Amino acid sequence: MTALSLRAAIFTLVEKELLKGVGFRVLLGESSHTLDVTSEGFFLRSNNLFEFFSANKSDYRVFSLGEDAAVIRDRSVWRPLDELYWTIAYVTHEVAGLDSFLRSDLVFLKRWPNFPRILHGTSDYQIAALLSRRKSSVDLCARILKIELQEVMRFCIASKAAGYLDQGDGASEVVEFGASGHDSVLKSLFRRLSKGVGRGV
Amino acid sequence: MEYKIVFAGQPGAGKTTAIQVLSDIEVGSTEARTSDDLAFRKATTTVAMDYGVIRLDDDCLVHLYGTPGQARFSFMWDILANGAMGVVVLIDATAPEALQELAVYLEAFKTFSQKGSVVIGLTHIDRGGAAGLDAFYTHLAHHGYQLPVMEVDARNHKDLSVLLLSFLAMLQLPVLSRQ
Repeated sequence: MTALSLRAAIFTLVEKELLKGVGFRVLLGESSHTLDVTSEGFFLRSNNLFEFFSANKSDYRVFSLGEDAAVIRDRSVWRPLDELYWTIAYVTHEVAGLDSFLRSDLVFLKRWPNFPRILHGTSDYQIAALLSRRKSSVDLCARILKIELQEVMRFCIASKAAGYLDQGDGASEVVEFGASGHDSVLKSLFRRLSKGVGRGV
Repeated sequence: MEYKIVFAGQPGAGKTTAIQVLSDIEVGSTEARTSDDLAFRKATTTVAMDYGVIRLDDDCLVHLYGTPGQARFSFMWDILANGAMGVVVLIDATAPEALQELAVYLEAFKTFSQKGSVVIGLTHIDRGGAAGLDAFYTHLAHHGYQLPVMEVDARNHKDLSVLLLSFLAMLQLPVLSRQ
């Protein structure tokens, strides 16, 4: 197993275990670090997710959770599973084996990622804005926004894993854009607000 | 140069708090003691507007206006929205009528909703019993809107910054697309 095993394994685990109608717990080594997933589609982690992502097969164990554990008592600490999918895919976007995109694939964002609660970068706001407004190829999106193709790929892979993205056929939609009239102040405010926003997960 | 962003939403959604958190100046508020059913939920409410400012490096001012939440003061909504860049709608996601409330504000600020100059922040999620994001996206899709909806804590500067960055990305889109 490579160091990336647990990341990929979580996808399989969720699919396999939740089919049984019960939740499961991933326990890291001898520590008390846990990742719980309930059959209702929520997850709870006891520490930073990156520790789970760097685990080898020998580093973790998986247990089924009983009925009691499926009760979500505090909605504020349990997060919806799509955010876990997003995070795993966002971090592992470069890993072969996860669904990928061709430059010419057309994509459309059905809903925005819940950015205040998930790992993301500054360019993801612009990608989300564009792809929620028009169906576009990955390549065209990168060219319009003048950002790296890899950043668009990362966004699309994470969005697809989380179920936010549609892939389609046909041509990119042509949309007329007018001038906003607020160009400089928007950029200035964007810079100001970006300073206080990290990428933590 | 001066610019304006309007914060709208039902009473108790967190508009005043959000403006207080974001503003570089002490917020001017027109709070009055609540005298109706609202008194069970909060002691005071905004009756005219809240006002704050984000001061940018190049001496630009971005004015933040909070609308009064109660429908009987809705005549203020149009006045405050006049000339605004867009509208941040804050919805108390635990309110039983949260989706209907959202519909009210999307309709009231239709000019902005239709051109994508609206972002929606769901507040009070930590209280439990809140409607999930999916319900709001389904509602928006049903009404033909593609707008960002995010969970925010109105007391948290980072949450509000992320919400505003998403809002700005929507507003910047025409600029970016012309480059």
